[in-house]
Amino acid sequence: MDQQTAKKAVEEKEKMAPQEIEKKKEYSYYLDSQPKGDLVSRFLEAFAAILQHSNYRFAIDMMSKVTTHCGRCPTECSVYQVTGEGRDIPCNRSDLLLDVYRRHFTLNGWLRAKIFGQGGITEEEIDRIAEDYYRCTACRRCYLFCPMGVDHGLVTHLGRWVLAEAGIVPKALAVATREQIDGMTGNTSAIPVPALSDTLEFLEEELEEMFGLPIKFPVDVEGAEYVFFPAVSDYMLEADTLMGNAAVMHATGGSWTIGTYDYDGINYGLFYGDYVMGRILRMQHEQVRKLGGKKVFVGECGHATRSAWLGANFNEGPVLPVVNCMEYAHEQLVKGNLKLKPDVVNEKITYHDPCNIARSGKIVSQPRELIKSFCKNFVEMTPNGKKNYCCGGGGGTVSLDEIHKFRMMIGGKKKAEQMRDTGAEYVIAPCANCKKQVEELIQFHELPMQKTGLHDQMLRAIVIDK
Amino acid sequence: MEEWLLFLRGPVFRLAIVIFILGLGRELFLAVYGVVSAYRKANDRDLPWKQMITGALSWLIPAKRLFTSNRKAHGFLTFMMHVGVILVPVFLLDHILLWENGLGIRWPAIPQYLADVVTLLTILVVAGLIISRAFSKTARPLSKAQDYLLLILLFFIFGSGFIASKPWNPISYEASMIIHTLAGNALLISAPFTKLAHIAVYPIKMFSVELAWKFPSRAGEEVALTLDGKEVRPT
Repeated sequence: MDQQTAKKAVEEKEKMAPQEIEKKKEYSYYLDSQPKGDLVSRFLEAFAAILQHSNYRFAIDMMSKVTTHCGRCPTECSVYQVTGEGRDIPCNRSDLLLDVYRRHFTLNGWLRAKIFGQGGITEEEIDRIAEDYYRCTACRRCYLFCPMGVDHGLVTHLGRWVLAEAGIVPKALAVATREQIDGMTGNTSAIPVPALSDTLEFLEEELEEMFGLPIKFPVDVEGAEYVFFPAVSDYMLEADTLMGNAAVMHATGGSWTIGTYDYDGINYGLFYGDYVMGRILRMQHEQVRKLGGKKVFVGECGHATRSAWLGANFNEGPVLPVVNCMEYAHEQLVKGNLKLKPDVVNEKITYHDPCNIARSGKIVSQPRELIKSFCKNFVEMTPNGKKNYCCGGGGGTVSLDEIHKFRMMIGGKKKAEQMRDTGAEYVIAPCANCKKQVEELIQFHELPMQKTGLHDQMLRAIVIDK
Repeated sequence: MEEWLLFLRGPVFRLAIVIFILGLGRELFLAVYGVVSAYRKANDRDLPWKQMITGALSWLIPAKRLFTSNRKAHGFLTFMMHVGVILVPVFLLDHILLWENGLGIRWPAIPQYLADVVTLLTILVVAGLIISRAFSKTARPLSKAQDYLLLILLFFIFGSGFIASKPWNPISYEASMIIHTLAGNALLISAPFTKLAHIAVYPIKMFSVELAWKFPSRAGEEVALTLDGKEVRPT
């Protein structure tokens, strides 16, 4: 916590009544606001409402019955492998919520409590859930190795939604999402349309200087096939990625556009609640329909892609196909429409698999085939693909600057070791969140490499002749 | 002692098997009902069927999965335990004859020497699993009472069954059989109420996780309405 923030916290505390100070919640991350009322009642009411209206009940009911406590999951968890602490065992963490479920929502649990005189959930237990469920990045690596197929990432996702409805949400996630849903700009970085236009104009000038011909970022084009949703932070931080996107679309004759109603693919609802996730995905689909577009075209961002895949859950009408820009580029490469020079990118390159697109196996081989088409010096991390380690910033934790040390020394330690072991000069991290985490890991651990995006490197190698 | 044995083999076993079948049947019914109602509530019903089936099958024949992760020894032990727990109770001639006497049904049996070898192996791997759990840094903090008790029951079931008809049996045949049927009945009765419920729900579990990520379209709004009285509220 920096000095200014600490001073502000002290000033706030001095204004509070003693009973308020006693109830004030403090976790490793800043809260958006203090939970109101009786936390235990609110937590249980939220859990009951979510179980009633969602599809989680039957899954966690099954999980609560079949978990074998075999101890395999922690041996594959990048956080546990560093800490060795019981709290970081995925099954242990899931049991915090599953025990609440068993005790309060099952006949067996109710009977057992009556027979053995067990009490209900306490505020201390809720505090533990609030703390531990944001140590997990919900990378779902443990799920791959669980013989019972228990998805601890799903339990983390559910637990965070229950916490959110009970009033416990990390400030960084809530503030950004509030601007995206209720704010004037409609995106998490508060970039207004004039600033977006200025950025695009600047990038077009850069592209023209690079290639000697106009390469445009089409805006609000009606009837375009692909409506583009990068992580909006790309417009501020990842100029090369965006220019790479535009260059690929130009070279392949892709019909695409950016919409000024919604141009942000980020969806922090994936990290803390289905209510906000659904609202953001409806905005996304509304943008596509406003322009008469055909497909949701996502930038390199992993969580933006995964949440876009979930868009069909929240929207009525025909399902909008979701295409990640790397899938598009790969398809065009295979068709022969995208040409990449094999002798321009000579540095040793490795590739980090973003959990949200690799864990399911949906986007694993495509980026590799793209890289190998322009780079002869590609080296894999170990492990890689579906089983690759999380960068340590997943599940929204990369946005929590107050846990930077945790992300560097614990959450991201295995990734830093992987990157170092490759000896690569560039690490391609094609996810906006992964990019931030990987950049911070490189600086913190003094790794002799640079982070980059896939389209950044394709920009160097792409052949554009008209 | 003979009366106890008849009692445990007769009415108690019948009660245990009824609880086992009805209890697991209930679990299976609830699991199927849960899957069907979740599927009907889901707005997006596009499931990766091929991936789900191959994923579940890869755990049924888990040679690659269990032996390529970080707990290879545990993988081997648990695989062998399952082989023994399925092969011997179902295909041992003595058990098949009991079913034939009771219900007139019969199926092929495994040779006695194979049954003896598998039983002995199962006793050893169960002992190994108990030790592994007690000394494992990752499994020990997770372990609850049932995790040990079920293994201990298995140890006694297979141990007593193995020594029962052996000439060197240190206790009487009846005593071994009493332990065997008592522990066996306890395991059957506990099945629907412990993690042994996976016997019934394992085929369904492959649907559960993929389907859990398929949400009812307005679940969030319904939750907001229930908790705060309005569907749309400030973020």
